[in-house]
Amino acid sequence: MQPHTNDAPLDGNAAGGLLSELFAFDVTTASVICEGCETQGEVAQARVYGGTMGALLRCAHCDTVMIRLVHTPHGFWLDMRGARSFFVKPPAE
Amino acid sequence: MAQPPISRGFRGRKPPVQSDRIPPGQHLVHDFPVLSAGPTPHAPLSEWSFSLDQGGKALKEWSWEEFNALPQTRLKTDIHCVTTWSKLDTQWRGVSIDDLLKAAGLAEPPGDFTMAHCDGDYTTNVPVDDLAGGKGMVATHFEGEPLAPEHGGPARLLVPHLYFWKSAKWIRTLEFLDSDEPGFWEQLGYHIYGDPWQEQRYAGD
Ligand SMILES: [Zn+2]
Repeated sequence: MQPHTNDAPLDGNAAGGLLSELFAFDVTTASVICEGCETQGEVAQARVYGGTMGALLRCAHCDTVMIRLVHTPHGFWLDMRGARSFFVKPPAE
Repeated sequence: MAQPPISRGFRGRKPPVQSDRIPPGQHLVHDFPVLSAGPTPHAPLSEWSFSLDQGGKALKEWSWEEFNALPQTRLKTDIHCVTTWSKLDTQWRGVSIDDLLKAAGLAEPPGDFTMAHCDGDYTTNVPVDDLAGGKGMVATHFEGEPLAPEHGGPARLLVPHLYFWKSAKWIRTLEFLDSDEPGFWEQLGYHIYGDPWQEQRYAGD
């Protein structure tokens, strides 16, 4: 029952669709500094858990939850306490 | 993982769905879907412990061996995941919260609310009234076998009358609190209580 299973995490691109509903730029191309281990890496390299309950992006190095995003019928819930900062390149000319 | 319903072969056709056992918005499954908030831990049982805590201090702590020597409770029950699947007649074995309190020498629960703390920084909040009185257990066995890691083994909380995210996988500590506080999903828009029969999926439902 593959659609039900998220035991093997997908990479951060899997959350790209959900993130782009909220952000005006492609967040998966941004880099993020993990609050847990201070490693800087692309959002696309994060490991995604949470299945259909929400997108939990964990640091590929230390498993800290950097981004938590849930889309309920009432709206979006976003928690980025595990992400110290983001670096976003300006869009290409 | 999928297990055919017992004696289905004898009847030759599916038994009718018992809709009085399926809460609103749920559908019946026969497999056991996996939903995790983080990677499956594989720590050796020699490093495992379980504790009842209050105010940051352990009231009582058990090693894996000590925990398995506690009185065992068997429970056959239906479970309901907020992602809309329900599974009937699941069979569990573990230690009831009542027996844990007794083994810790506590005549009464030391708070009205609890927070379950788990490997992988997962938490969930459950009122004591939904755990004591035979309502909840820390389960170590499923269908007669040690609970598989992807389903929360070696031990998970089991509170089957609430949505299944409350039955926290990989539980390590049950903390007693004086007031209700939101856990991991409850801070992210999921319902603070989570009664499937009231369809309390999200905050505001
Ligand atoms: Zn990290």
